[in-house]
Amino acid sequence: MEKLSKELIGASSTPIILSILSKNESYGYEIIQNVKEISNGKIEYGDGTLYPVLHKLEKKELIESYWKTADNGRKRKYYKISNKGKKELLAEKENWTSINQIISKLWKIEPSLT
Amino acid sequence: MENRTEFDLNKNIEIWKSELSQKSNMTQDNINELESHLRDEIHELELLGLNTEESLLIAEKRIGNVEDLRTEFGKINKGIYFRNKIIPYLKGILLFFAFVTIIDLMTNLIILVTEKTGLNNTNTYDISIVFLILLTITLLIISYRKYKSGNFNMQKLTNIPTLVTIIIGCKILSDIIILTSGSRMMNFASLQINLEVYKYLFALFILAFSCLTYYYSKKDNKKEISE
Repeated sequence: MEKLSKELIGASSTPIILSILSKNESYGYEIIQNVKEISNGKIEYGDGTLYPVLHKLEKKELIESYWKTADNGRKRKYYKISNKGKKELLAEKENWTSINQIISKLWKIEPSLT
Repeated sequence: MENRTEFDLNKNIEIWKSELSQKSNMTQDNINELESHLRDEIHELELLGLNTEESLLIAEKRIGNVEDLRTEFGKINKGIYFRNKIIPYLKGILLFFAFVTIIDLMTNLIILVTEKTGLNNTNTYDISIVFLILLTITLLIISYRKYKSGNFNMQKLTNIPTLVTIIIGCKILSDIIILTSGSRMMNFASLQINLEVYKYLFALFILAFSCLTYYYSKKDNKKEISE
């Protein structure tokens, strides 16, 4: 299966991660598996490369992190979306919808993000 | 028959973590998070039927080599990289200052003792030499014994709050001795005043900088663990 370009994956990482966290709190490994599953393998974050992205979002106060002991007794760092992150996600949705409409107009196809 | 020793997963993960911690741009929190990821990956691979050793090898490969991780984390941990690099140098400077202040205190104590006992300059000189030799031998013996028993801990010795406390404590004691001593000590002290002012200002700058660096380094490494 052909994967998306690195640039596109990088540019879409913020809305994708915020969207996943807007549904549920999650941890790094689970986020990677989720993205892989949703994108049918087209987007696959490198195991070691997702964390710097998460930390960057945390520094921007778009997400919050905390350590929690999972059911199996192991400690995991969980992430959840902040109020600022929710606002950012709305802005991202508008931006990506606009891009989608522009591209669709240029290629004369019906715009759709679903 | 093949004789294999039992594979110790925890020991191997500790080795991997120690390799990561040697890189200056990762916090302890970053390393703990990567360990948690590594263990999740190993668990998944074991469910697929791989043994623990194979799972660890593949999981390490997937998470990326140490250099790649260093590069990725370096992009977001620029401040931490600077602090982790500078802390050893600050510790060295503070260790030197601590040594200087301790020697100052010892010198002032010797002068005070000779002042109170009425000894002459030659005796003072001899006493100070004997005292320094004894002090050096004592420190060497203590260090050797600690090293032999495996209790020699350089981390305790170079702990920034400990060094700052030693420097400030010794300096205050030295000043108290000078201020409460007789005229001979006052004369000796007055000769040092010009240099002391410069030394104080520089020491204050280093102390303030060390405390700030230590504070931010601790803040970054702070783990928020909730059950």
